[in-house]
Amino acid sequence: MRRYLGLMASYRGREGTWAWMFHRISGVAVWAFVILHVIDIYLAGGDPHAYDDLLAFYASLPGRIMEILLGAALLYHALNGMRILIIDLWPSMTVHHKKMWYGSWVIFFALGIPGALIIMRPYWREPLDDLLGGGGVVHLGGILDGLLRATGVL
Amino acid sequence: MADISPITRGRRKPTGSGREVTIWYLMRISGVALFVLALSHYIIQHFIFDPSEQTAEWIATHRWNQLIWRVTDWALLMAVLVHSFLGMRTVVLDMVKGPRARIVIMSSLYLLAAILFVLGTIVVATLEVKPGVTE
Repeated sequence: MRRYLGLMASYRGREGTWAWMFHRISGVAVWAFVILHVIDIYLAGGDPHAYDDLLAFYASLPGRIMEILLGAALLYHALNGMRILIIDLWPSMTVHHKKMWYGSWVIFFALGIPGALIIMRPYWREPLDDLLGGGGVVHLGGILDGLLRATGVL
Repeated sequence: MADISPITRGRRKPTGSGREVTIWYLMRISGVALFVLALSHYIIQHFIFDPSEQTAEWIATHRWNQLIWRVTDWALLMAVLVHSFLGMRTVVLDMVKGPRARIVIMSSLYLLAAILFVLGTIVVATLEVKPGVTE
């Protein structure tokens, strides 16, 4: 086992090896979360107060950072899993495996960055509204409202 | 790690028709199911709703107030237990070479999977629906 971890740490691989290593690390991370998650949801029935206490942590700043990391592990594993499946089903796609690996990172960040912002919304939505609306200059909601009215949607 | 070709793809499909082939297919089928179920679950719990509102009360009155959501979440539980524990099996078989250590670790893993199956099934089947909202 030590040799295995040492190999993982010292090996300077190319795209396919990195894809495999990230797949394994993200998979084990999600597995660990699943154990916690089944137990916490069991508590929702077995001990609702304990569940609500744990929920308060999930909704806190460290909790949200961990949720973003969980989402990142989940999304990487899902996208790379699809890459593996494509190659399994159509072996001729193997020649494109590097392109698919870089493509999966493009999708990862395109979905992941907005996703992370949505999870962090309690920390920026109100301050942003205060900043923009408080001065009486612009209000994000007001801009959207105006646009919708102008285009006849509202 | 002899049966992996890390350069291009995932685990090579084992030959023959034994247990390894069944597991190879189970990983892929449960993987596709999870691509839909797990990602949509994450979107529902973190983007559409927010963790701050998901109290035990909320689960009973909103999240699990219809059978279809309980069935969907139970299907997610089944898919994730199959996929994650068979995935851990691959990791253990790669990392642990001693036959006795393998038996001990794999037995513990399968016992843990069975416990999670029981806990998850109990809560999704028995959590009492609270009236209040029946949208």
